[in-house]
Amino acid sequence: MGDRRWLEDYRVAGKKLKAAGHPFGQTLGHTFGDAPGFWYPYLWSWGGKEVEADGKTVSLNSKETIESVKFAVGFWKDCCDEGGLAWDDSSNNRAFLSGTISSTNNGASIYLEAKKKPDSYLTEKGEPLWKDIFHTKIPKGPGGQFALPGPFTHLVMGYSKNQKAAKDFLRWVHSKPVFEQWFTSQQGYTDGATKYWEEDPVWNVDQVLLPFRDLPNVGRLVGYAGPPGRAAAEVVTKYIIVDMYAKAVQGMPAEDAVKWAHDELVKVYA
Amino acid sequence: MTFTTLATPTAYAGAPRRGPVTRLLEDERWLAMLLLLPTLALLGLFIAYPFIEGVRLSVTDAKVGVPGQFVGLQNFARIWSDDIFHVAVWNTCVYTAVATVFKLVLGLWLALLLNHHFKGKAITRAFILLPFIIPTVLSTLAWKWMFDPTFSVINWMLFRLGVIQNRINWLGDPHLALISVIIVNVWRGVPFYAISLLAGLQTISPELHEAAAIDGARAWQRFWHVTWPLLLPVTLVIVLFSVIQTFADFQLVYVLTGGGPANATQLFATYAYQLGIGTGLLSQGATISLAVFPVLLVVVIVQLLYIRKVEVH
Repeated sequence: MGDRRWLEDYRVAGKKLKAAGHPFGQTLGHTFGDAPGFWYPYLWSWGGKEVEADGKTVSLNSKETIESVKFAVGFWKDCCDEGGLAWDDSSNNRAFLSGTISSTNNGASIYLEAKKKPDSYLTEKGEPLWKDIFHTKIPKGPGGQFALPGPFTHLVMGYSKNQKAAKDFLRWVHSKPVFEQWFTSQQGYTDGATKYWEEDPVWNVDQVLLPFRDLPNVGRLVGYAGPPGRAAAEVVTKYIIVDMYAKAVQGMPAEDAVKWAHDELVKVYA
Repeated sequence: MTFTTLATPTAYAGAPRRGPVTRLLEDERWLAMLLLLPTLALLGLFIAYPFIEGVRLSVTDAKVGVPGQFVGLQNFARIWSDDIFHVAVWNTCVYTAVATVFKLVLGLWLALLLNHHFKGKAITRAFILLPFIIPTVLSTLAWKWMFDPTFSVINWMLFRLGVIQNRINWLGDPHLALISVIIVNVWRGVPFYAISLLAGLQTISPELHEAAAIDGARAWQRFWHVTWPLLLPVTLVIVLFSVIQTFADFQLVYVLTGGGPANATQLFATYAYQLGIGTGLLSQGATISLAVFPVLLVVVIVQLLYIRKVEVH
């Protein structure tokens, strides 16, 4: 198996921080943003995947996936706030801003909120919290380093009577002068759909937000190595991958948790 | 004496004419139909139509944006072998059974207490209803705060009192999560039981209790032999309504846990929503919703037969 030292280092740091009362925080609950947002890239970082490139052959039950689950169980106990099993998408924001956790997977919203209210969110030394925050990618694992960006897609319904007007509007909204204004207002919370937007001046404003610029380069979508289609969406909304880790953390042997998830995927992809 | 003063042709000619509509409305059968029409329209639109549409969806492979084709009982076969569906069935049965027992016992106890005369009785009875009338989502959000893994006020209080050293993972532990949703359901449902049973208690004549007391019956004996048998028909009706509502519960669990952790609190309704609306698999969501129907039908029939038997007796 490949190099796992970055994950091991992350775990060592997390263990020390948890002992000091500031664990890592990650949700394992049924919440549609943060839960897949961490656990899918985590699975990929071990070389695990849901299906093969043909988009049909389920390949979740593998040595890589089982190793990822075993590591996750130890990582959870050693480093994480164990209340994370019940967190929704806002819980980690609140926990971080209140200083109860030291690291979490999230968009730039926590940092931007802390920056907006520098007198409300303080460190234990009384300093503004935003000055003590930095961003980085999810740690690299034996299988690589990945992220699950939240793609936003514009669609025009086939039954619409105003298709031309809708398409004209979308072209206008996505034209450089118009899109640029919106992109700038995001302050680095969003990436553009093309590499052009990696050169935008918004990335020169705040170095703390710079890591978000490169996320699409390590991005994958759900359903990997197949397409992010309907079956992949069903797996996400049923929280099968998330529950695989949740069941193991709650005591199910890693092999059984993976087998359960694999069997569920087989039914979905049938 | 002449008869001309009684009903002269001119008087009769001047009487108001009864048109066809008036004559129709004076017929009780037609008037009844007309008065029932709005109710039938509402029932048809909001009960019958969704039910028929649900049955239709469950025998197709319809998805959001795809009308789908007839597939027979394929969806039912699919959920029959679905592990998460099995978990949802089990959770719903446990959730309903345990919550109903607690609501009945606590509601009855509260009703017996409220049946006495005391100062502030009226205002107490009004306050008792608050958990039931506050919108469920609102009160459940408050409970979510109270059970929060980081900020739970219950944990804070127990910690300060020295009862616990480590926080209780109310919504993160699978067993505690189910207990937590049951606690919230009981808290919300006890007022319904209490007020309904109180109404039932007040129909029982105090003379019966007096007569029993004179005969030497103790409080428990008076309750078991006088109060309970007379209260049973009302109790069964209340339990019937409560079981139907609890079995189909959605908003409480959806807000509190979303069906997690790892489906530990997944119910019929939350799973049907997750599949039908979350995933867009309308046919499968409809199938799960319909799976509740035979179970509830059996519950309703059994209870109604029992109610009839008790009333006749």
